[in-house]
Amino acid sequence: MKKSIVSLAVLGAALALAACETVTLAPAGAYAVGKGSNVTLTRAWSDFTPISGLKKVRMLSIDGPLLNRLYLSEGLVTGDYIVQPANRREATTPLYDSSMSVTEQVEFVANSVTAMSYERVATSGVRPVQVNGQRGVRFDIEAATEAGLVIKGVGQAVKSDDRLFVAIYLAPGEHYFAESLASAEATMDSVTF
Amino acid sequence: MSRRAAAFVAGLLLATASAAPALAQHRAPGLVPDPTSVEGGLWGVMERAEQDAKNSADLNDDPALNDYVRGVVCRVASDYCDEIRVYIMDRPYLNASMAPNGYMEVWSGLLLRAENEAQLAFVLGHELGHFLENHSLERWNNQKAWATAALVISVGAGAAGAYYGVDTSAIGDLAYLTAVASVMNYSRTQEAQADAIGFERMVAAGLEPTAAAAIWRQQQAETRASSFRSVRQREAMGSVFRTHPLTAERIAALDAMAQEHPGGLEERERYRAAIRPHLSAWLAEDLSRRDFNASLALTERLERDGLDLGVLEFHRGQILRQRRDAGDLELARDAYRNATEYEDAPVAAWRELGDLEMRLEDPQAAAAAWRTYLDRATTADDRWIVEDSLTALETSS
Repeated sequence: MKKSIVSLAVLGAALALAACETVTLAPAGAYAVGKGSNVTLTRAWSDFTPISGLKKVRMLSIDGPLLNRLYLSEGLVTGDYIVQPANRREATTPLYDSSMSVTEQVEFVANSVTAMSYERVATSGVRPVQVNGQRGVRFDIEAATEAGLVIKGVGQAVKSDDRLFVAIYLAPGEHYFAESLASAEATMDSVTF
Repeated sequence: MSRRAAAFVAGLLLATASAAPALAQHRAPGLVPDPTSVEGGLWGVMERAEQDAKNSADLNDDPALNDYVRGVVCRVASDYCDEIRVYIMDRPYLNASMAPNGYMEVWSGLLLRAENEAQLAFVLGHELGHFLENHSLERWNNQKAWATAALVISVGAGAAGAYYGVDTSAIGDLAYLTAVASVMNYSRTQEAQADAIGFERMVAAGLEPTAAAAIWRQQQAETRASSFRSVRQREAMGSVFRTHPLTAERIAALDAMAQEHPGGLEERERYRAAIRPHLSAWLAEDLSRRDFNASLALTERLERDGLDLGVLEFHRGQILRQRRDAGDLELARDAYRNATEYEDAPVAAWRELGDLEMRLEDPQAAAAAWRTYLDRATTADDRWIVEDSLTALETSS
């Protein structure tokens, strides 16, 4: 309940700010994620980052964040978050540490998805992936919204020079996940840093 | 403000205070309100909330656990048992709630923190107390009366101020704050009354009287241990706006009640057996709060019974590994080592142990732990990660 209230408050604040910050087009082709990190989008997405409150992470969507969302981080260093805590002095959301093992990187991503207010977050199909010449890890995600909607997703973590590049694709299991999966995975494959 | 204006406002305060509702009577079993009444309306709202609970992702539908918790509810509810519908929600906070239509939620955070059946019975009896005393309806009526009072006083004070030519805006603010404090204070009275009912029902069921104070004492200790200042301050905040009596006050009241009753059953082992299948998952959920010190306090308390030590030591390792304070990795390694001594240790304990042995520069111990993991986790999808680590180790040596 508390998480929902916080989420609603964040959403409300985001909507209130929408008058000044807007969703922008992320056209097909090369797209900058952040400092020195880029992806290639196979189709146009919308970039919700300006109203998301995220730092060092972009949030793209095709049909709106409730129906599909793709998070892409620039290189995270020790002390960075994917999901910012509500109170800066209390680390209530997962904090990245460059000493994390590969297993811990998967755990970090899964815990961050939990911190996005998803329930029963589970990972499976943990597999190696080669991105920009680096060996990383990709895995399937299953979760649910508080109201019980099944969410499916794919997570990825690739480490280079102590920086972690994370990508997370999430969508309702019914229709939307499969619909945008190919575009999301192609984007994950295309990460350069 | 002149004396006449003050007398006018005081008169209004007294008049509206006397309009506040008195405590309702104990409800009769099988009560169904007129759907057009205020209570009928509240029932309608709660029926919609109950429907949401049925569809919630948090709902725990394990039949054995549900049967057990329902059995404890009936043990304290006796002739009201058939009216109560229990929903166990996997949420990592100590909480239970009861709506006026008989819809009860029991959160896994409570089941994880209760040490025995007597403690659970007390909390469920407390919630039953709210139900028996129609507290939801009382609170609704009380809030309505005080909101009206605040409005009347503000308008009256404004009129008096205009008549006597003085600024009475502070009276309006005071009336509002008094109304808010009154609603909260009324709620504290209800909580204390529900504590007394929960205690009586638990004792009447033959359960241990000291369990009532014990669960609040445990919660007090966990709150004090919290990693977060905002949580630690919660208990210390004495304010007219607090909705629950301070934990210390509740403990003192319940201790006094317990002294007047002979001992009863705790049902400690039966309780642990009922929650054991969910222990790992609930501990992992608790860790998602990232209140590492509170989770450690909870885990160490659960370990005192000497049960489920493989699961609990593994979890202690998980907390310490994620907390990452100075010296935590060594402590986490020791906890994982301890876990692997017990038959109920999760297989992941050997993987985590291997990773930490390696990080703490004991490659031989790391290799041994990783090999044990590979022997045991024959179908795990992360075997390649451990195999990569072993290969890297063998190549470097």
